[in-house]
Amino acid sequence: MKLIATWIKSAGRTKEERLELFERLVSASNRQAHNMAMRLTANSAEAEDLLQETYLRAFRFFHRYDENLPFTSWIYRIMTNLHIDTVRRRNRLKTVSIEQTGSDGNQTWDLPDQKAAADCEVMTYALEEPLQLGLRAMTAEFRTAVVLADVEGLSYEEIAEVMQTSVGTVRSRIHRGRKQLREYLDKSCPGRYEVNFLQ
Amino acid sequence: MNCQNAQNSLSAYLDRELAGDQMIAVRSHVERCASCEAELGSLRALKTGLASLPVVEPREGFADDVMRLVRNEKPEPVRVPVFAMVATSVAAAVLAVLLFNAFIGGTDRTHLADDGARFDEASDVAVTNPDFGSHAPLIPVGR
Repeated sequence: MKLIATWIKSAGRTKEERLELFERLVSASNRQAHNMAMRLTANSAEAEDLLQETYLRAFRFFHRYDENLPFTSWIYRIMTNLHIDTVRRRNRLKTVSIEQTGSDGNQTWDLPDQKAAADCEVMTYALEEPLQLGLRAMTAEFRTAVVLADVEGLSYEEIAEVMQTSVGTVRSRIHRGRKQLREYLDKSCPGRYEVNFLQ
Repeated sequence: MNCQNAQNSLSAYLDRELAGDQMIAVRSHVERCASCEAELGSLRALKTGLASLPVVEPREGFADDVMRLVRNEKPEPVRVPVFAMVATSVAAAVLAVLLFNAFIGGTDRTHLADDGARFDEASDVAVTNPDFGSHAPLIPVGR
């Protein structure tokens, strides 16, 4: 019933009215959404592409947006779906996993070579944070859950809503995600990071 | 609670996403386990670090560029789902009929009770018309 009411309400608007409302929402949300996109991609060009595609998709399906709910939650849902799809597509093309077993049988991390990255120049100082690099090395689902919890401050229930999954799955993703991130930090900047940050 | 259980719950404990009794169980374990206390401290530092990462602003004019693209975008046609509409209409119709029957049935029941007694006197047999359900009028069948 609620969905139908949303549809009817949206159908009652003229194209100009829809555009005007959408523009207001973009203007109010783009700063926060851009930061979220940066945390997910750790790359300004990718973040811009992700956010742009998110808004275009949001406009395409704007009639499905329930105005009683926060616009950013809806945007995050679209963005996380797009992001996870993109990472999965990219991983299918890759032949090497970011997490693999070394010759000694231990798990090793194949850290991204920042100097070799084509878009190295456009990365801002913020992205050189070990934490940001650690986020980049995480599994997409774990990263999304951790960013929504720790950067955006969403509750598990809200994250479950955004990621369209159960609270139990969110809890597990956050637990495993933080563990993954900690392992990355221990390996990439042992000692220094522990002294400066973890203590 | 052992260390394994406590460590599996530390993240949720830190986020205050455990039920009350679980919160108490984890807290009491952490208070007497140095290793789990250290693990919790490390997770807390990680959470604080992520929360205090600097906000990365979009470039100047980004929102305008998005809106320029949006203006050229064709929105999906607004389609009210036919199934949902039909289902809602049917549900409303059924509800209306039920309410109507309940009202009429309630009135008729008193009447039928009187009539039924008379029918019983006139004839020992009475049938119920299946089309009317339980509120059907009783029809006497002549001998």
